[in-house]
Amino acid sequence: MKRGFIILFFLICLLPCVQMLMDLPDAPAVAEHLSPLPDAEFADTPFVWLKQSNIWFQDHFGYRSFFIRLKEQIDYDLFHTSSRVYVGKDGQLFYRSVVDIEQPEIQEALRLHEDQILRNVGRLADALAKRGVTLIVTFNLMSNRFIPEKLPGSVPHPLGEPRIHHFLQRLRQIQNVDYFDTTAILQDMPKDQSLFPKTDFHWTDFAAATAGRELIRVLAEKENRAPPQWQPLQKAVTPNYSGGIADAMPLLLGNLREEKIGILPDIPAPDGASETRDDDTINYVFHTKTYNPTLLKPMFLLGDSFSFGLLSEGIAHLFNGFYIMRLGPNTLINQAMVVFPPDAKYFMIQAIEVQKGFFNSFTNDDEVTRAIETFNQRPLTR
Amino acid sequence: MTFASPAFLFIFLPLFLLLYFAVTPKLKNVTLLFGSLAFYSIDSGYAFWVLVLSIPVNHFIGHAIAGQSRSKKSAWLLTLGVVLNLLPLLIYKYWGFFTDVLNDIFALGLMPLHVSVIKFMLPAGISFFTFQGLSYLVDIYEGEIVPARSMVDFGMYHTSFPQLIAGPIVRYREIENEIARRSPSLADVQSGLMQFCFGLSKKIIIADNMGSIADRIWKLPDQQLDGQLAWLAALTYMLQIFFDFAGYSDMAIGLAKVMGFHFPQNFDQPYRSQNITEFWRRWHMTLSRWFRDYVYIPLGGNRRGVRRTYINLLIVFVLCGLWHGAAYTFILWGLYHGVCLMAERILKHRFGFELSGIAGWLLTFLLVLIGWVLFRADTLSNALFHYALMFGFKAGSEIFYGVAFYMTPDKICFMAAGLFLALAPSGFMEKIGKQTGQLMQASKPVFALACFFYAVALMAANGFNPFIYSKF
Repeated sequence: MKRGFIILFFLICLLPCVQMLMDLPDAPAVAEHLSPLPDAEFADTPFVWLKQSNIWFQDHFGYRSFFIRLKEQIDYDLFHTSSRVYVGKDGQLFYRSVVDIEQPEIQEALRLHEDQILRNVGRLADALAKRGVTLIVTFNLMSNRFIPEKLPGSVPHPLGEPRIHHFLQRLRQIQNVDYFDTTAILQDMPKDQSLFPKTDFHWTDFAAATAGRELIRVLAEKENRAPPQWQPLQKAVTPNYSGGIADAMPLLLGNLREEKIGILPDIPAPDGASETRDDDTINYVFHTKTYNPTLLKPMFLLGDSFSFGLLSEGIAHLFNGFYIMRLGPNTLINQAMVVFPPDAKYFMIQAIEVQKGFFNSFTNDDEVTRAIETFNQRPLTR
Repeated sequence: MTFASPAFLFIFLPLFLLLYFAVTPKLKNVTLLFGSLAFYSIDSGYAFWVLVLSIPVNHFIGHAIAGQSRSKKSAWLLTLGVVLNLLPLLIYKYWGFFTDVLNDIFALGLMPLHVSVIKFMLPAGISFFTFQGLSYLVDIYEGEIVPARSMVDFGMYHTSFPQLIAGPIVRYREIENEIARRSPSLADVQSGLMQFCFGLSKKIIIADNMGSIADRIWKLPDQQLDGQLAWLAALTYMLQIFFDFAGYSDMAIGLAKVMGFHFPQNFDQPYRSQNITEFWRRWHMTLSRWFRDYVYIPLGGNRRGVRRTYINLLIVFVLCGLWHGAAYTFILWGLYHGVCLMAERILKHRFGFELSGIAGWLLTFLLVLIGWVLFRADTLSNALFHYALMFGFKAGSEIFYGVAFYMTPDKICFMAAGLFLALAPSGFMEKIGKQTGQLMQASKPVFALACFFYAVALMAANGFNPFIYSKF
């Protein structure tokens, strides 16, 4: 018995190195940033090298993925919790980073800078309007705003109304800004229709496509056109879907899965139109061969991953031109102005409520001034 | 390196123990000496040389003192040894603080003087090995021990990795015989490894989980704090510091047992104490003993009248606070405990009243908890703000993260386990084991391995968390 215990203890201690040396199979790796190999020379700086090696080993020891997944599985099965994800009612998942950190950060940013942000959005809108471009802004609230009843009891609760609601109320009152209210659209959707997948933080394709159709209706009305005659959305079922939030909770027995109902694109591109997708600053470019007066005026969309859902039915094909630039946490507004397409008549900013790229841009007066100057120097076609 | 790091658990420990048991008894001390130096070299940087230099310094001064048999020369040699031991501690740990204090004094007196502050990186465990070095020289001077036979024997004692970073403070005389000869049995090895597993689990499962709550609350901006959160932060920190340090002590004692040493116990259920005097008999016992034998008694202890006893107590506890950290908060924490002890003595000697029973326990628990706020706070104003929150004098206006946010089911479970383990009577688990017979006895090793396995999983998932006491 004593001998057995000692042998087992040593086996557990030795196994990680054995795994590394013999490259034995481990559980799938976990998505995370790991420390690099030591870059210092041992002979020159031995203490630095030793310290760096220690840190490197901490992130790379054998069976580390197995141990991480085991811990997450125990947390999930035993405590119905996770260090990275909130496990809500009916298996609805929410990113902890969003609820615990990013929403409070934006709450604080709005407490300090709401007036400044609104003033700067107004400045940009005025500058665009002077040259015939309409600024459309849309904000996507996160899933916990729509389905708070599914949150577990341990989530943080701010006192009073979240500031984002107040901010959006004021945003829609700014002259020359067309506020596109996706929140109202989602709240008006049938109750039996889920707005968010259980394992992902994006809206469902159905909800997104519904919002996309509403966008077209609003723009058609603005251009005094009749909106398209819509057919029922074509659904595509993915039986074993696992979204990004499930990925963030690396379970040993495999990610949580669900049946996802997607939307098939069913709006064909007009004849002769060109469509390119790449990793350039402008990720997506759609352009008709010649100007088609039955289609909407060209749009330049600066948006995050939610915008792909908005376009999932293929509504970009209803425009004479459509350009998408990805809005990330490090994107600043002047970067969009530098590549502003000359024919765009709509500039749409789509942002989730915790989009740092948006808030960083508009809390910076100089950045907005730069963006306006850049835009004013851009050649525009009539 | 610390015990709760992957490099220690998966490389150093198995390789070292295999080598240690493979070499002949004659080579065991030199193996342990070099193993300990390798262990220390990983994270210590150039402070490694401070430890290495302290070996020959103490060894030769120890022998020189022993050769003089309490003459004036031996007193000078002892003074030299004390100064040389304290010098690195003063430079690395206290230099920055002392210059801060000087600047604060200048500022109070409105003097246009300013001393530029140089702060050094604190070498891990410097307070511990300094105290071991001091006790070694003083004990030789007092004629209580004879110096180690060789520099290897002394170096092994002085740097022995199980207790190098965070104690317990082992006196030479306590392991003198084992340094010369030791032969651990299979039962010692198993029992030592089990103690190590339970110690690691205390640190990673309970202390780190409680610490994650305390740290997050302490980082909140003032306007997001209220009384409930302040009490939760204090309670979780109270559990964190106990299980962090007691866990480390268990690991140290366990590893020493594996190698055939019997280190003194460092904790005896301190949170069960019914008064502060008892608390200090149960908390960090090797440090309390050190201060009693090398500071309190030489100052006169309680032999020079009541007033002098109180002054001695205050001196000892201010030094004890300063030993823990170079900041006003630590000094005040020491003073706070000194005043509590003084009050208890006054109550006992003047009024014949001694705190005891459930009321005594509750009051002691509260006093200790309140004291930990001073210990944890970064600054004095931070501590005062925390007290104001705890006692309802202040409350934030933007409470976002409530108590429920921190007390998730896993944390509730670990807190309950922590409170149970901290408050159960000494030897409670052993008694249960005996009463339930062989089944419980047989399941203990399995439980130890399960705890070890889970602790490793937590370590992998949560990253590395250094021991609190290794910073002292």
